[in-house]
This record gives sequence, C-alpha cells and structure tokens, in this order.
Amino acid sequence: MKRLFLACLSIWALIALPGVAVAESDEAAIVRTIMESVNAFANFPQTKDHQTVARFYSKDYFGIQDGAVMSRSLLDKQLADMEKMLKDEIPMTIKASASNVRAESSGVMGWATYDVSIDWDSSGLPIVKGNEKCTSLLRKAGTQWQIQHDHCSSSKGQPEKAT
Amino acid sequence: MWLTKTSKLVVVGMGLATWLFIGSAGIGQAGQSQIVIAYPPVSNLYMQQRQLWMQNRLLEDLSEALVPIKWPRQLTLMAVECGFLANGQPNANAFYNPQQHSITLCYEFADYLFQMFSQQTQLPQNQQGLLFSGALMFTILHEAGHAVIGEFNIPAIGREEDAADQFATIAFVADPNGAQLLMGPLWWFQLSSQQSKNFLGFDTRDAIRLYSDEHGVDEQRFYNISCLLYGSNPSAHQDVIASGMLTPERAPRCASEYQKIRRSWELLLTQKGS
Ligand SMILES: [Zn+2]
Repeated sequence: MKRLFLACLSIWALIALPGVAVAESDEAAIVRTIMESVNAFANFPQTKDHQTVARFYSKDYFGIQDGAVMSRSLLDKQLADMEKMLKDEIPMTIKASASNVRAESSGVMGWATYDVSIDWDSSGLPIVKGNEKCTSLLRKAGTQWQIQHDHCSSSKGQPEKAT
Repeated sequence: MWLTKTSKLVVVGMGLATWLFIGSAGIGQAGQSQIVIAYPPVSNLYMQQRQLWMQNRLLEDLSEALVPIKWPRQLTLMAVECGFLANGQPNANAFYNPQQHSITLCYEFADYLFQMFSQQTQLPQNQQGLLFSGALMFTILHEAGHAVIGEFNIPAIGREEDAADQFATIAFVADPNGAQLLMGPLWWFQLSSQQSKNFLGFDTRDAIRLYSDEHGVDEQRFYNISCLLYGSNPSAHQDVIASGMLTPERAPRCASEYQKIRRSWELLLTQKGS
C-alpha cells in the first residue's frame, strides 16, 4: 500500500500549498454561518459562553421577531443573562436547528432564507417552542460573514407559558 | 479517551505491503492494463489541482489499491469536479458506478477531508497528514470493495456499505502499517458523528434521515472497524479496548468476526477472480 499511501500524502501536501486549497463559495459560507449560529445557540448550555453565539452577529445587528425588535445591546444583555443562569447551574435545555437554508450573495452583502425549529426550556422561564421562518441579511467582514439583520415569524406553534 | 491513541502515530518507513488476503487468494497477477486512469476537464476552481494531480500521476498511484485484483473488464478510476449540492455545499463524494464500470473521486472530497483534518490544530501537521492519508486510502479501498461486489456480481448479503467497509478494513490490517493508518478513517467517523449531532440537534426527522441512510451511522462504522482491527490480532491490539475504541462487551467476538469476514472475502475472490 506504499504507493497508495504516498499518493494520499501528496494530495494532502498539494492541497496545503498556498493558493491551491479551494476557497469556499460565498453562498456555502453563508449557509455554514447560519447553521453554525443556530448550532452555537443550541450548544450554549454546554459552552456557557455568550461569545460563542454573539460572534455571528454584527455590531449594528438588529432583528425583528413577530413584530418585536431585538437590538444588538438587547441581544448582548439577554445572552449575558443566560450565561449567568447557566453558570449559576440553573437547568436549561435548548434544542435548535436550522433547515432549508438557501443563500445568495453579491459582493460583501448576502442573504439567506431558512427555517428554524426551537425548543428552549429553562426552569422559571416561559418555554419557548416553535418553528420560525427567517430571512437574514449578512455582511462580509474580512473572511467572515456576520448576520446584520434578521426577520423571523412563527410558522406554527406559539410560545407557551410554563405552568 | 481514544483520541490520545493517535499521539503515538509516527511515520515509519512504509514497508511494501503484502496485501495478504488477496495475495493468498492467488489473484495477484492482475494486469495494470485493466485499470484506466482519467482526469476529465474541470472549471477554473480545480484547474490547478487537476494539473498537479496529473503531473504527479496521483491517480496512477492511487490505482495501486485496485491493481491486485483481476478485474473481469476494464475499470476506470477518475478524478472529477463534482460541483455543488442543492444546499450550496460542495458535493464531496467518492463513488463506484456499476454502469460505467468506474470509480470516481471528487476533488471536493479531498478538500473536505483536508478541511476536516487541517482543523485538528491540536495535532502536529504531519499527524494531520497521516490521518488525512488514512481516511483517503480507506475511501479508495471502500470504493474498491463496492467495485469488487459490482464487477464480480458478488451477492452481497446484508448491507453492501458494511461489506465495503469490511473489505477496506481487511486490506488495512493486512499491511504492517495498516493499524496506524486506520486511525484516519476512525477519526473521520468520530469527527463526522460529532458534526452531524451539532448541526442536526437530533430531532425525529434527523434521526429518520440518519437511520434510513444506506451507510451505518458513523458510530457504528467506527466500532465495526475497531472490532476488525482488534480481531485481526487481539494480543497486539489490547490498546483498542484500553482507549475506549471498542467495548469490552463486543471485544471477545471480534476475532471470530474478523476470521469469518476475511475468509468470506478470500473465498469469494478466489472463486470469482480465477
Ligand atoms: Zn459506500
């Protein structure tokens, strides 16, 4: 298997050559950003670090969810509160996933449409559960895409109060 | 933790393989002429890679995995730009096509493995390269397994994907350095199972998608390969159990599992390859 091994090792080496690795397309990078941002939120109870979620959003981010506005400062505050709860060992489970992500881009601007399903349960707080249809605007900062604006509306299943 | 096992990886001069199980089955006389190499044209995206692959005759060397087999007809091995999937992700794939009698390796697949292993920055680069090489070798041998089943019309009882994994694993353990290189596909399935959990969050729909796939879930492929590795020489591979790559419950059955699978392949290849 020596030739086989050496051929594979050569492939490794030549992809590692500067300029040979194929740059990810902008559309693929946007899809990945959306998936990773939702994924980072789902993993928040494990990471307990709000930066893992916040880093996907631009400094001037604002979002609209069923008519309610979320500013960047509100987002930071909410994430910081959650982080504190998690560090205080208050039980919290988050299931969140994005699907049907479609992306387009033009220069440094990009946009994506996708579905999010979320089920967020934390003792003492209302259970957040439902499916959202979202549209995000993204901007490329250096090599990273960041979410600048998003607009989500519930497609079915309303948030319910814990009893 | 099984990940620590790879810290023992060292490049030992890769001794020429005795691909024992095929050699002993007497099919070693195959002509290179049965394997046709092809580098179809690509877009700008892969122009440079294709040129480097051609200059370095990489497919010709990869075909070493196919040469020991006396194929009933010409088999084409080609490197292809496979484009994008509907979700915008690159089509990172490798596959056997029974109608075309061909094995296709997508440039995107090599990129995918490269991305995966080059992100393991806790490892020195030469180890990343070894893991990458092991995973790519495993892929070629896995596709060779599909091709053997398809070209020789071997009745695959049970899941063909499992048979192809077994074919590849047996080829690895027959090589003196194969056990080390098997860490490549083992890492790959481990990383990919972590990734799918992270991305999917595992709701019912994701579970259905995973369990309905023709491949075993990554964890099953991981433990099946570990079992064959251990079973090929239990006293030499005690560390497979110690590092948690195999459960003590399954381990006692792995030697007979390995013997049985190896004998089945030898028998089939002897009958079909003569
Ligand atoms: Zn397969």
